[in-house]
Amino acid sequence: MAAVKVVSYQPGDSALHRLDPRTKQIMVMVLSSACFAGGRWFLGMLTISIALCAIESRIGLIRLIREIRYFLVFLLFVFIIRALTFNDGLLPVLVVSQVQAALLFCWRLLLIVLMAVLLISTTPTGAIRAALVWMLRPLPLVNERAAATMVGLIVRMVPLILFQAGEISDAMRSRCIEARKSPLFRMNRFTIMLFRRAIIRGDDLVDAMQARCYNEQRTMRVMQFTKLDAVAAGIGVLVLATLSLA
Amino acid sequence: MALIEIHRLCHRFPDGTRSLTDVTLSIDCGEFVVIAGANGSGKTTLLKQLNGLLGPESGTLSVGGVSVRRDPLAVRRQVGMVFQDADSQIIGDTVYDDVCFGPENLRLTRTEIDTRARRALGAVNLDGSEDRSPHHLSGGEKRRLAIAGVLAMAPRVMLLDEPFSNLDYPATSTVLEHIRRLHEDGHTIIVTTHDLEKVISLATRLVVMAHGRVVLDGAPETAVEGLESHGIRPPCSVLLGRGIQPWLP
Amino acid sequence: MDASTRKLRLMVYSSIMASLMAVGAYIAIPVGPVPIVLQNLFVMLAALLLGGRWGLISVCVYLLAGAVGLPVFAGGTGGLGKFVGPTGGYLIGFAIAAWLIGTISEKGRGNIFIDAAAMLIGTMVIYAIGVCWLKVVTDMSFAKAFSVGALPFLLGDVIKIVAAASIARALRPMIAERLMVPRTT
Repeated sequence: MAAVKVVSYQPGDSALHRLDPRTKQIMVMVLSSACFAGGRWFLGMLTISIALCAIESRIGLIRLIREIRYFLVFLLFVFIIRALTFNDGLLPVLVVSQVQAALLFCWRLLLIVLMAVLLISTTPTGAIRAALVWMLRPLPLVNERAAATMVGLIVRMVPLILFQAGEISDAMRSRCIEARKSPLFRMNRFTIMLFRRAIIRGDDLVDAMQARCYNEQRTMRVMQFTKLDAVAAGIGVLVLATLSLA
Repeated sequence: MALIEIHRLCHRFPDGTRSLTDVTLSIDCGEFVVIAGANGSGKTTLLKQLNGLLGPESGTLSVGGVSVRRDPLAVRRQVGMVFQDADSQIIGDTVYDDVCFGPENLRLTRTEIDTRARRALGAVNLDGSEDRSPHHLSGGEKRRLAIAGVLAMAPRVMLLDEPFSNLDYPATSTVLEHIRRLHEDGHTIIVTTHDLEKVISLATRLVVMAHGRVVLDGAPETAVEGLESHGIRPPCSVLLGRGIQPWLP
Repeated sequence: MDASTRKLRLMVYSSIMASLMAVGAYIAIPVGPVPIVLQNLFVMLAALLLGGRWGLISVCVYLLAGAVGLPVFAGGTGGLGKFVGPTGGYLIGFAIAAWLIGTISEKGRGNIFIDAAAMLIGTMVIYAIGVCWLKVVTDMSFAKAFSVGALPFLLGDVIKIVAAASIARALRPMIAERLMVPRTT
């Protein structure tokens, strides 16, 4: 359970690392949405750009693919569902046009996920949060600083809770929970324990935050657009321009 | 006037159990106080009171002349607290983020925050680990990060709650060495523990608590004599009749 | 407890519920051939324990963390792609369901039947949005989308609703004590 591999930040000093987090975040958002309208030219250009970024940032293509190996299984499932047609509901039939459409669809999903992986592996989460505050600020009814703090807490808590879940399940097994056949009983016990521990951890966290003078008006990270961001935006616009190609 | 003044402090948990009764203490600048006591003797509650995390039921508590009840925030700026469970104290999602958390809350400028964070990480030998996730640190490193996070806020008083729990020998030695240095640098140190062995030789004062009361208060050399009746094991060297000896060889 | 402490506590609890949702996307309890994934159970519990407003906030923060690319969704992925992907509808459904369940159960003041009814409505909302989205994205017929995207999970969901009702009963006093709200029976 602790082996859940999550994409994580890889320190570095490449151009991709040095880009302003807002630039990266906005480009990922715009290009992700554009993927759904994009044809072969656009997707091809984007694929090449992503590959170049992976090499430039020293993440490397192989590592990039390895980071998403679980997603690839899921993608295969989607491909099969979309490519197969059930004539008369019995025998699966392959239709060329449908296979093409399925391929295109999976290509789009793949690129979107790859961009997200590149973003996460070249941007510290602190910077992602700062960009988040900047982007959420114009929205009404959203307390962007609180939201960013909460997202940061999630990053911190998930591994702790995963570890806790493993401990609880081991402790329950060592006292023969498996002898209880009822899934309801097992799920109840497990969940109550997990939530109890998590809430108590939350109490400690509240104390720890207050002990270090938590308040909402904190000093934020300094972010600065540079020439590099202009260059990146330019490349992004060029890639977007290929949308118009058939 | 002493730096920390506690006068007839009482505290009760929401369920009604008493955890502090009539605690009166005054602690001077630069002291190294070890608060010893069995589990449930009220040590941690007292530390949380000193940090303004719990409000007193009755009695007064002030740090540098400021009452905790009136201005808990001002008190927290002067008093940093290192919790027993470092895992729940670490808030940031990277080592560097965590050290910055306190100074960011104090609304310092970014350059000041960076300077302080670097200095604090350097002081506990964690420089070079800035981008690591706290989850991947060892127990000793986590404890040191917790200390750095407090150090970056530049408090006058450091409270450490059971700083050696769950640490192996090398990690204990390093943390102990860091605490010694903090004291040398002029911090007032208050350490709680149920196991005096490691830290007693650094102490300038020993306070023993039992059932929420201060039952013994004095210089370590004299106070160790009455320990056993309060459920605390005296250090080995004392049992062997050799007085207080440093734990580190 | 002063207002700022109370708000901080609710913020931290919401983040914890959101983290639990992320964990619920990773782990499953093996029961028979189809493992029970705990994520939607955790969404319902967040709503029952924190109420409509903060239940909604915790789901939104979870989705936000995923949207900026943090690996909190099933399979350790994240990113906007998930929202437009085949399972995106369920994610949006979670938010609406959390708000509905929380709001209804607040009105019910801890009545176990109202809680169960609230969760039933919430679950229907999740599948309504989820299956429709699945149908649109994968271009399947409605019947096929339903048989892939809802049918296999329905039995598990009934079990989860029963479980959630009793789990919430066990955990509510703990939350109430900490937030100093008058206890309901």
